[in-house]
Parts: sequence; structure tokens; C-alpha cells
Amino acid sequence: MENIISLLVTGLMIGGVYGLVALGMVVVYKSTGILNLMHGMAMVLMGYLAYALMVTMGVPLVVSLLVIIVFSGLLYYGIQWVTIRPLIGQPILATVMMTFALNFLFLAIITYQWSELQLKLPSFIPTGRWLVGGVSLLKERTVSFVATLLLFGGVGLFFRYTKLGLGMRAVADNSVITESTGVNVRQIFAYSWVVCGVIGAITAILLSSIYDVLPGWGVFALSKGLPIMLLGGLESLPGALIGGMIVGVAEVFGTTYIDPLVGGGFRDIIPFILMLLILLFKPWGLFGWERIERV
Amino acid sequence: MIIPGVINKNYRQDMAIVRTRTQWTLTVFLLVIVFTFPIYLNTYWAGFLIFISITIIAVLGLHILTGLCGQFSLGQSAFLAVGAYASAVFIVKLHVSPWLTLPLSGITAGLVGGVFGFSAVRVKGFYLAMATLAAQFIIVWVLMHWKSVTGGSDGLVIPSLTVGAFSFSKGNNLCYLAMALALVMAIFAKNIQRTRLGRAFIAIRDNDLAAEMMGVNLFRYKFLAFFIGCFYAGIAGWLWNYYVRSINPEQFGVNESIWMLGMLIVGGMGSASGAIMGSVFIRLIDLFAQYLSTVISQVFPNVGLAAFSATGLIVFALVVVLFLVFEPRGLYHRWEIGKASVRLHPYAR
Repeated sequence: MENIISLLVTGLMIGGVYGLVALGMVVVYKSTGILNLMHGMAMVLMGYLAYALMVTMGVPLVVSLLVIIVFSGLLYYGIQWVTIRPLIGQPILATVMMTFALNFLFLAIITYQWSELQLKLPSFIPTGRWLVGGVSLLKERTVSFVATLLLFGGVGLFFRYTKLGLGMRAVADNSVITESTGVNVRQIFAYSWVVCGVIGAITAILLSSIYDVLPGWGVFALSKGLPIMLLGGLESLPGALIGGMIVGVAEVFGTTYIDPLVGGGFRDIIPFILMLLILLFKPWGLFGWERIERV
Repeated sequence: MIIPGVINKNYRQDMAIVRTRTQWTLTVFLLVIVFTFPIYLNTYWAGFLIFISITIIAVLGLHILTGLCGQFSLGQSAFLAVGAYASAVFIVKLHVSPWLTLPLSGITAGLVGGVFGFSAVRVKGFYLAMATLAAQFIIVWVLMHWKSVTGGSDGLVIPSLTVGAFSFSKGNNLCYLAMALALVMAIFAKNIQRTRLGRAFIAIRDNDLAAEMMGVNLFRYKFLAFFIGCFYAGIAGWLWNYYVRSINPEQFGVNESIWMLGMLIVGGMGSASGAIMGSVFIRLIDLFAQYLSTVISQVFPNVGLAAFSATGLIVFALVVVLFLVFEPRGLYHRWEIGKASVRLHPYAR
């Protein structure tokens, strides 16, 4: 029993961070209808840049984190301006390929600059364990989990109460009608990419406190973030968090109970199996919008 | 290209792909040139030709699935893996004749693709893309972990292909077979889009709800699209076996699937010729990138090995990005424009 509870807690915490990876992509999809497949590799790039700033150049911690966040926002702004905007009106395959191509481009830049090194950022979150009610918690995991929850709450509030958030929701609902009411849709598009960039940078910082920075994160975002996003529903913020937690818990239990049967590595495909199962019964994900189509 | 003055007088002439005597002469001439390549090419370039043929077959399958039916798939390379492993297991473990496994590997890949395609009936767009991405990851994982059959990460070694005393592994012999297969598959792909089946696919691509209203059975045709698309991948997989002779799951990564989609986009969606042009173009570009990376690593020695893995990615990404922004209809569209401007010479730019 104790074991199961501690597995559950570990799973929830891992899942929270997974959900965070999905969150950035959900924000962009929600308002622009574009699946941001380069999110993972952009996060890796931010991780490496953080290393370059903190360790190679010796910039103080807080300053470098701020620089990373601002830079990531600007980078996303520029990218959507140069590459995504010309694709408006093209079939969705175009945007999928474009973001994949950018994904490759980032990977290539990282390979050139850092030769795919595995880097360890100086830790800025306390390490060790807390004991809460008989369950031991890794401190850095707990801290980043709490930060994840705060970020989710913050993004939720942003969408609910700010004017920009309202605009994003309106654009997500129907961009044509929104434009006719006088909202600058292009600006909203651009800002939602900036929000995604900022979330990506924060995710990268939180991830780098748990794991080493390495290009594998890019695939990680692809193989965890995307299924979570679809599982929860492409447009749903709570869906990302809950989907992430479901996947996290399933992974931990899968690793403990199924891995011995199949010889390890089952966690790599659990998100996909869950996603396929849920898509069979709820094609729009758990909390996604069911769109009614007309000919 | 039909020059002015050639008039179609009956249905057969109207439907002909190769219409005039000049076109026949040019086609035969081109085929003769291409099929005599292996005689005077060295092993490296002959291997490259086989590689291109494999790519063409796989991309043609993707063309039927994505370009015609609009069901885009991020798992083509995994279905190629299914074909390769199916034939390898049949040959190595069950001692089936290699020639019999050619259709068998296609059918196996087609059925596996069809199973994943079942979800295509319910989901579309990004959801479908992710379902096929799931296929990619799950299939490679299964190949990696089902050690008793697939040999895990060690993979399988395939014996050489022979007919009587004639061995296809000697010299450039396999090259002929690969090109002939690619040609046959290309003719099939070209003709599929002119039949009832192909028109149903196109109707589904343009608007699946409207197609269903007109009596196209969505379930049946989407399943068929997945079956045919993955059948092509399976055939390509069979050829891949004899190209590398030793297969393992790592050869069939998700990147390869994305490259194939990229080839389809660069060539031009929805045309078989475009799929062929795209595959040849991207493979040549990749070759150029390899050359470029040797130059780069000589000029900047400190970049070293990183250049080899990164330059290809950069070039591929840039090519796809540029095509998407400037010529989303691909090389095939350019080719058509070129032909039209030659035909209308003094009157059109």
C-alpha cells in the first residue's frame, strides 16, 4: 500500500512536468490552430543557452534565467513572423512539416555548437528529500511540481481574466468573427507564440533542475508532450495537466509492474497506447472541443 | 506535353499517359538510359540508385495515402520496417522463398497499416497525424523488444537473393531489380489515381463529409488507402532487406518518416511524378549536404564530427521551409509551368 502511494505521488509529479511540456503547445494550438512540434527542441536550445550563460559566461542565476525567458519569447515571435505567417491558409500538413523542419534546424544548431554534450546545470533548487506522511519526496521534483501547478494556474488566470487572454479565446473560437469585431487577430497570433515561448523557457529551466540537458528532450517532448496533449484534448489547459498526470502515473506503474514481463522500456510507448485507446472512444480527447462539421 | 495540333479523337487517346510518338520515343530513350546506369556506374553510385528506388517506392505509397486520400501519416518508415521484418522473418525463420515474401511483406505491412488506419475513420487532421506517430513509436518499440522473433537491437541478417545461378548480390545486379520494381510501382501509382478508387480517395481528401454524402464508403476507402500506402512501404522494406543485408530497428526512425513527408511536399502533393521528383531531389540534396559537411569539417576542423550529422538536417530543413514558403505546390508544379511555357513559347513567359 505504502509502495503504491509513493508510486502514485512520483507519477503525479513526473506527470505534472510532462503536462507543462504539453501546456506550451496547447497555448499555441488553442489560439492559432497550429501544432508546435518544435517546442521540445526549442526547450533544449534554451537549456543549452542557460548553460552557456550561467557556466560559460558566469552570468548571475536570476539574470540569466530572465534573459532566457525574454530571449525565448522573442525567438518565438520572430519564428512565427518569418515561417508560420506565410503558411496561413495552407493545409495543416504544411505547418506540421514547417515546425518539424525548425525542430531539425534547432537540433543542427545544437549539434554544431555543443556537439550533443550532456550538460548539468548548476542546481538552484534544494536537493534532498522531504518525508511527508511516510512518503519521501525528492525536493527538486516537489519544487518543480509546485511551480508547474502555479504556472498552470497563472496561464489559466491569464486566459480567464486578461484582455489578451480573452482575445486568444475568441480567436480560438472563431478567428473570422473575432476579426470582424475589431480584434487584431495577427497580433493575437503573435502574442500567443510569445506566451508559448515564455512557457517553453520556464519548462526548460524546471526540467534542467531535474534532468541533464541533452538533445533527447526534443524527442521526449514529441513522445510525451504530444500524446498528452491529444489525450487531454488539443484545446484544453486542464486537459494538459490531467493528461500529463495520467501518463505520469501510468508510466510509473508500467515501469514497476509491466516492465519485468516485457523486458524493460515499456514507459516509452505507454503515452501512445493510452492516447490511441482514448482516441478510439473519445476522438477529441478527454476535454477537447467537439467540433461539429458541416459540408 | 501535348504540342498544339495534336487532337484527341477517342477515349483511348484522351486517357493515354504517353500520347504521341515523340513522347514514346523520349520515354523509351529515358528508360534505356536509366536502366543502363548500373553498367557503367561503380558500386557506390549503384547503391545510391537502389537507395533512391527504395525511397521512391515508399514515397509513392505515402503519395497515395497522403497526397491522394489526404490521410497524412508520420509512420511510413515504421511500415517500411514492418515489411522488411516480415520478409526477413519469413525468409530466415520460416525458410519461405524470398520471391514469395515480396507480396507477403507488402500484405503484412498493409494489414498492420490498416489496423492503425482504423483510428483514421474516427479521427482526422492532427489527431490522425499523432495516431500514425504512435504507430511509428509502437512498431519500432515492438521490433526492439520482441527478441525471439526480430532479434532485438541485433536485428537479422538476410541471405543473398538468387534465381538459379544468378545472384542479385553480385555487382550491380540488385540495381536492375530495384529500378524495375520502382517502375512497376510507379505505373500502378500513376494509374490508381485514374480509377474509381483514386477518384474516391481524392473526394475524401477534398471533403470527406461531402464524399460520404455522395456514396463513398469512408471506412472502406480510408482502410484501402492505408492498406495500399503501407503495401508500398512493405515492398520498399523487402528491397531494403537486400540493400542493407542486415536490418535492425534503428534504421527506421521517426526522422526517416518525416523526410519522406518532406519529399512529398518538395515534389508536390497529389501527383505521382511529384513524389518521384521529390524523392530524387531530396536524396541528391542529402548527398550534396554530405559533400558540404566534408568541406566544412576541413575548413573548420574544430566543428569535426558534428558537421556530418548536422549539415544534412540543416539543408533538409531549409529546403522544406523554402519550398513551403515560396512554392507550396512543389517541383511538379514548376515542371508543369516549364512545359506550358515551352508549349506556348512566344506567347507566355
